[in-house]
Amino acid sequence: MGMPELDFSVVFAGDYRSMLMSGVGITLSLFGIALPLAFLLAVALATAAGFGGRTLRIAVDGFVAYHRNTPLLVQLFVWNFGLSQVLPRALNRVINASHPELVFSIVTLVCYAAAYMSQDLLSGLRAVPAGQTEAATALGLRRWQAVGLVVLPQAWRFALPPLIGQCVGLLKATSITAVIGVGEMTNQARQIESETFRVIEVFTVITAAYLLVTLPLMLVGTALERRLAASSGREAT
Amino acid sequence: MTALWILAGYWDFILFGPYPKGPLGGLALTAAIALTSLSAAFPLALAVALARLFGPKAISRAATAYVYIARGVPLLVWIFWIYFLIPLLTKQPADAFVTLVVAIVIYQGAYLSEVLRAGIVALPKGQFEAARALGLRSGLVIRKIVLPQIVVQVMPGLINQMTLIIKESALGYVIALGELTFVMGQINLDLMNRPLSVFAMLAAIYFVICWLLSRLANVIVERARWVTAKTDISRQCPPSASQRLCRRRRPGLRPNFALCKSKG
Repeated sequence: MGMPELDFSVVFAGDYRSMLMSGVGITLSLFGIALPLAFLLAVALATAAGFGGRTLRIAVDGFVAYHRNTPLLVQLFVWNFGLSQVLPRALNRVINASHPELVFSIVTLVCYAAAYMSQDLLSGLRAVPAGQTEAATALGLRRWQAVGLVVLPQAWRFALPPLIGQCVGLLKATSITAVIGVGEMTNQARQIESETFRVIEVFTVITAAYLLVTLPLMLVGTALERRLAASSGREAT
Repeated sequence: MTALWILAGYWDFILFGPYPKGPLGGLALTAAIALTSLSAAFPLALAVALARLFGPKAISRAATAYVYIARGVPLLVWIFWIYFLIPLLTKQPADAFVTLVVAIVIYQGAYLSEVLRAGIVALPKGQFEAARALGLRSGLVIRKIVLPQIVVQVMPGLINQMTLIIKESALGYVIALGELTFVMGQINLDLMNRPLSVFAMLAAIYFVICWLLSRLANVIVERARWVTAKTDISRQCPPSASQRLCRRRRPGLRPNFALCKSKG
């Protein structure tokens, strides 16, 4: 027994170093590609649910409910093993020509994050009192002006802290893609571990790598939340 | 149609895995993982929440660090940490069930402690002042005053935590633990050519369970709101003061100005 001796140089040298670096690259690419796409989709979903008709609202509710009530891993399986079978043949040929597991990973991550983000955007919108729109239109602003100039800037302040939380969630979610063979950070770490048995070293490195991104995000989120709570408390008194 | 056909052929395998010929699996194991993890995470989360709020500075800081670090790393990484560290330290292969439960407890314990902390913070300050004025020791305050109240208040949060854990237990698939997702993966291999039906059905099973649980949480929230609305003295205050109270006490909810005003 006893603690094994640590030797980080193994992990940082030669092949293993390049494996780790490519893992970091793929994790950051998944995150960097999925985040803006998810945000755009979330804005579309929130707009449809907030300003659209009944049918649109029900469709968005269904989309959100599916992504919130099933495991991310299962959503990934549904895309990668299930829906991939029924896509149009031409589309499938294009996807299979590149890396299908990467494509389906990004699609899954975008839908998953967008479902959660759309709810944050909507609750941001709802947090703005109705009196604001009424006051704006009473002052002679058009409806779109009232929304764009008065409601959205305030809704944004309410939505930002939870959206930052979703960024953290999305970065962590990229690790799931390891299960279908995407060579992101966690997958590379597992492979290096199986070749070197340097459990502590390898996982310390990737744990630190995740924290390097998530900790600052979480701290910023908490600070914004606190400021928001303080300012709305001041307004109330 | 395929779904019915799969259900007819595999319903006992989906529910119990290879049991009684082999270890318990399937939906029953998913339920066991969720219940074990939640019961183990609760005391940890409570200790962390209390440490952050009332502990000496060093302990409070350590608890805060734990909450941030545990939430900052994917659950899959925690699973791998435990799964590979146990054989290194004990020279014995890690048990998949223990690995998954411990990983979920570490990860969700941090989230749950935030839920509990919010519940404690939301208690009116006067309660602590009154208790201190009565000369109650802090252990007694926690047991007799804090706990009974937050248990009701955080019940919806606990149920939500349960749905999160049920969804996360799907990662048992990665370490070949025969829970629901793993079992359905086996059925998929068995059938060879029905992946969409199998995984759509898997999603549907999780959906029904988690959706029902979240409905239950909503019902409790509504009930609690109804009870507090009947007893809340803040509703009887003049408008400005009541608006202030409504905002302060429930930062997560929008104050119902219409109600406050009509009472004033």
